[in-house]
Amino acid sequence: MVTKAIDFCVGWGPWPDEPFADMIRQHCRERGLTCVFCKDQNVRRIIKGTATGTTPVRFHLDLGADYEDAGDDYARLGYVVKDSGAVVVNEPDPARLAANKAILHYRFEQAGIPVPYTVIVRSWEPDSFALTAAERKKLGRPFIIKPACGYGKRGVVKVDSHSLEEISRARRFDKDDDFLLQQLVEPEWFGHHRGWFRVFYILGEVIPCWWDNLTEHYACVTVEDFAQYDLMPLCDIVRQIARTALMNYFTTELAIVGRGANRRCLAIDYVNDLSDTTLQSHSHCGVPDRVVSRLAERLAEGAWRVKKGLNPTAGMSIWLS
Amino acid sequence: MNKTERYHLGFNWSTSRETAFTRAVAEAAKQRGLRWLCVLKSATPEIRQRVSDGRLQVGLFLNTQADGTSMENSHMLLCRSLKASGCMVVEDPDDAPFYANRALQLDYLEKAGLSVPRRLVIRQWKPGRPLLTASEQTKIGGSWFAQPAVGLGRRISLAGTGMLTSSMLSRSGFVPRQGVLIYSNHKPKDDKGMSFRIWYLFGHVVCCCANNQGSFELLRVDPTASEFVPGLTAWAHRMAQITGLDWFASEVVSANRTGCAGLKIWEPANALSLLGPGIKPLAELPVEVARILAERLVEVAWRRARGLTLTDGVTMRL
Repeated sequence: MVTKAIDFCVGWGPWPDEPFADMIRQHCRERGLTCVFCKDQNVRRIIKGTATGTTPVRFHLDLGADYEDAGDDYARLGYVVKDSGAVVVNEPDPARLAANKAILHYRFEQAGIPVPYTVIVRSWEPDSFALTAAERKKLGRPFIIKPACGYGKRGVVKVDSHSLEEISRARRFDKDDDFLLQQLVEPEWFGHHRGWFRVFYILGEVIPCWWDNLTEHYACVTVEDFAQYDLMPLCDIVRQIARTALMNYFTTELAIVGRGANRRCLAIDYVNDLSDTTLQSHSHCGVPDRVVSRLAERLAEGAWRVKKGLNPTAGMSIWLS
Repeated sequence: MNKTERYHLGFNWSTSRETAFTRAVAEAAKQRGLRWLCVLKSATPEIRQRVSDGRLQVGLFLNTQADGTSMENSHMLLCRSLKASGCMVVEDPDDAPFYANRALQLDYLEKAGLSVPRRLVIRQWKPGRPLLTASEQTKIGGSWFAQPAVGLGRRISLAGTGMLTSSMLSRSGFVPRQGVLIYSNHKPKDDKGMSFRIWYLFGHVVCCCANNQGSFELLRVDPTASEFVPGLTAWAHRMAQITGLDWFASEVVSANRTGCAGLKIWEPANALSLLGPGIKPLAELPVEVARILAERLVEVAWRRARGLTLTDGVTMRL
């Protein structure tokens, strides 16, 4: 039986190609790696090839799975690759758990990762669910309501009152989901940047970006920013999140509140494993091109290391502009 | 017609004995599929000849031996021949008069706002004659450290307290016609201070701190790292911008353990990168750092061979 290994397999999903995909291909070419993007047309063939060993996958990145859907081909591909003994960047089970903010919230608290004050409302709670006086006081006004399994900003609302009606209306976004009622975080200012960050974690490397949650605009964190504003705690928290969530590729939102001895760094949006990689040169809300290129290169380097029998993570590092 | 031998990577080295660095280079080069060459001093003239004749080509060459005191010694001549053949020599031998001049470099670093020791340069001195005036001695203070003003080697140096005299320099191997750089000695002598060694490797920064035994170890993810790594990385990045060097080591000291405010440069950017072996027995390169340096060097040679960008951003290795 002839076998032809796939050095780097990307579970891309039905989405159209974007520059990130081209960057991954380019970095793989430079390293002499075979790279296959799984889309609807070929995903079942790849699953079969992996399961039978005719086209084994060495290194797999999933960007398309819906682990809540038992029939999802990309989810199945992730499990088949994992069961074959290959490296899956974000393993299916941790990825499934990481998609649920209600689960991660308690895990973060247990791990000592600072999070905003949060009340979790389960899906079975009636529409008449009401906050206690103590909860209302701690949440403050306005506060945020977000679905546990949501993504992007879908289903996220800022509410001004603690009324039953407002909470109930927000929960109607998905009746089957749990909801997080979260204290609104107002970050400090650092020069002309709000102290709100979207931080990428990729195979041991932390890439912090300024991310204005109001305008959704990214900016690279420079070496000078990092030292001047003492941003190392961001990286410590992201590494802690990676350990707690068992994830190797994700973004998280962090905010810095308070000054001096009261300064705290909070994890806001926990883990997003299907991070947006639209280029900033294509969209105002996109990720800086250099960051996207760095992510693609780091992934290709991880695949190359696996091919050479090395650990995909080359060590801990922080990348700055 | 003779066939041209081609190597992706080369470096000069002081010993035929295997070291952590050479071992790590061999391993990393094998993984990347690169051919590499280690040039000992005894082989330098022959290699130089082969480079000049076009019989040997090297893509990237790291100089760890030519200390910049002379443009005519065998290591420097090899570097110049390699550069003339199209090889990327790290660092550029033609820039040696700048980067090998510690005193000049400290002036530039100070002008750029980095904290450097109080110092003075004695251009010429004679054994048996007074070395410092009373005001110079006052400027330096009671505790001092002396080393040649030009040259990246670290074999000749002298530290002491009280009056520094020319006879002390003579006894320690200083040469009268060479300038002497005399620092006020800020090196911490107790547990209150810290000493760091930083490597800058084409945008990658590796920070080590001296442990209780005086040897260096990688600054890891702990409160010490959080306290110092960002500041040290920013300094290394600034030093790279100011000196134009791509590959260097530096030593920085701190009078306290509570953050970067008290940092002071002890050794400016040293293009020989303090790779050893045997600069000081206790200051041998830690194996883990040797591996990181070797992997980075090989990666840069690999990138150059493929025409890729060598540096993008700054990466802090932890």
